[in-house]
Amino acid sequence: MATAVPLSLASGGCGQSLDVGSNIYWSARYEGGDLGEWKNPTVASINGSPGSVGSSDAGASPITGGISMGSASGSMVAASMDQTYLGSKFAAKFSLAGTNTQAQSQSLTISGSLPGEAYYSSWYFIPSSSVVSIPGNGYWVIMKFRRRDPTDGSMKELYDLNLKNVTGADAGQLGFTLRLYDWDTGGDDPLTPNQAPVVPVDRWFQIEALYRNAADGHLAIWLDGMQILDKPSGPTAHDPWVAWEVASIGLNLNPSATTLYADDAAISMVRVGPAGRIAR
Amino acid sequence: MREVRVFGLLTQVAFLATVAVGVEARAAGGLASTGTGGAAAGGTTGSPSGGATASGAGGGSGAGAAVGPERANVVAPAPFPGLGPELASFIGGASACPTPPDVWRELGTLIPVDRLIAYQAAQNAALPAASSEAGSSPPGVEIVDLGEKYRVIAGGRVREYRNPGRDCAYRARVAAVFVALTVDPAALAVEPPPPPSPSSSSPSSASEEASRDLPGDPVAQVDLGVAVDRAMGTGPHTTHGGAGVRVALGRGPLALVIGAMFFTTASGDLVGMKLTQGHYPLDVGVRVRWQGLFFEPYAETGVGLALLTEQGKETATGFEIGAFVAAGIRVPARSRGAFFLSGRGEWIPSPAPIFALPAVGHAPSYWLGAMAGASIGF
Repeated sequence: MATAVPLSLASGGCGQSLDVGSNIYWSARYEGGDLGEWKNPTVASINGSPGSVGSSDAGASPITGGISMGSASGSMVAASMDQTYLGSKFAAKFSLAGTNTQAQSQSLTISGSLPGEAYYSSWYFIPSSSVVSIPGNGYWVIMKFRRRDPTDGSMKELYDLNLKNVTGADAGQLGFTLRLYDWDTGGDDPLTPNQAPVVPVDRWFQIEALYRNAADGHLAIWLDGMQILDKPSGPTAHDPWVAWEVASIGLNLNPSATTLYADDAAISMVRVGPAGRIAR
Repeated sequence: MREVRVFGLLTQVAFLATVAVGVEARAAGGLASTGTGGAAAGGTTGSPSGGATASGAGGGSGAGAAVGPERANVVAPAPFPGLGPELASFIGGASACPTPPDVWRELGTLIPVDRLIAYQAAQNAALPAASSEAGSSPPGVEIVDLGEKYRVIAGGRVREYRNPGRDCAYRARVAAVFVALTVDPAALAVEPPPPPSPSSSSPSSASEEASRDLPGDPVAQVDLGVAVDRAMGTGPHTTHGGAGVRVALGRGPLALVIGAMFFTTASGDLVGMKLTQGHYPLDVGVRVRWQGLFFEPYAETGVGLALLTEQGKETATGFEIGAFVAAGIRVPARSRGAFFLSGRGEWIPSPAPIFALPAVGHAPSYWLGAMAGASIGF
């Protein structure tokens, strides 16, 4: 102890850190090896497609047949941003099959009277084996915003962030870009200023959305810190209730089975960005 | 060099009278080295070895003094008008450098004539009756030129000085100061010289005086002033204003220094997050200073311990340890009251991490600052 004290003083910072408060409203890192962070009955829920165990406030753990936990070790899953400083070992794994017959859906949802304006972010990983063809009558949704119907309180669609195919640099090589589907207008919104941002494969990437639920609603989206969408006055929910999903929802994908990983989801009062941290 | 002040109109008049008489005597074309009108400079000689033809106790009037060609134009200043022969041979000896007239001229700027009269009278009264009956009194002061050294004898005290450069004007000033201190120490606004060593022949050099501590140097210096500090390197880059105090303990070129500063808080950016930062350093180190005649530059180094506050949604407080260097200047030197200006740099080798999620960073790793104000010696 007598030696430890001088050594700690010699460290310059006296071995202490300064915590001045967090702007992270909620986060999910999955480091417990489960999806428990989404099981908060007041705000979070887990939904699975038919046949899966996953359901709202599912009690089973570990969840099988639906959303499962993927290990970062011994697989093709590369390190997420989390892993560089927090030693991330787990990520959520979405496995879809049979999308060619009907829509398959797996999602992690947080809903409720969330902050009127907040930043919603998650990291994703698409392995090269999941580079699928998405036809015009198909879709692959990875992030959703929902609202509540004012008349009956039922959950309604609002915004979908979809993966779409683009042709890569090599002839015939498929890749992905992003499109925002506005349920109010029933069509894809152009992404500005970058009309066709390239979504990386075999590498973790971050999608962050600013959502302001107000009369002057605002939706903005960033891909790896680069803004790709800005809807300063788009429609938002009718009341403070908001639902946000990190999801894998597919229809008519070719091949019909696909895998998607997600990690480090957060709701923050300020932008997180690719360099931001959601936990100490 | 000791600072000597001239007192009194009488002294200045006596000095001017001496100069005037000297000019008049020179115009008369010769040394007035007679017993009656002889100047106090009775023993001039052109020989650098000095003293060979000094008139000694008998006259001091320069009788028998050989004057070399180069000294032919030197005229011993006549005594003050109206004064008797008591001061005719006040300064004896056959010194060529300094000459008794030179010493007499310098002495006239230091001490009133009446003091000289009183001193000489006291010396004469102490003489044996035989000497006084001879009609002459020995010189109250004797200068002996020993080449690289010279000897001053006054009031039964002897002081020998080394001056290889034979700067006669400087020698005359030094001799006059010694004589004045011997005749009447109270007449001078300067502390008396230290008592002579028992050998009374130990050489001393005025040039060594400047490097020694003066007994009057303060033991502590307190610097009070306004300060500015700028955070650099990692962490929020903020600029703070405030005040500081520094205490330097010790005389001489080396001192222990302790300081503290108090700054207002300031806002800065940590990876896009706005934080309000506070910095309150305390340090201890050593100060090395060069005590010149007018400027006193100094340098410091040591260890710093600072209280750091960071305010985001919440406020966190911590301590940080670092090293500092500083440089400054104090004007005027060797004065109890002075102005100072300094610059300072502090390095924090391990700045504390700051968590303002989603932002994470570190406290500043460097601080640069300046301080200016008043410096008071105690």
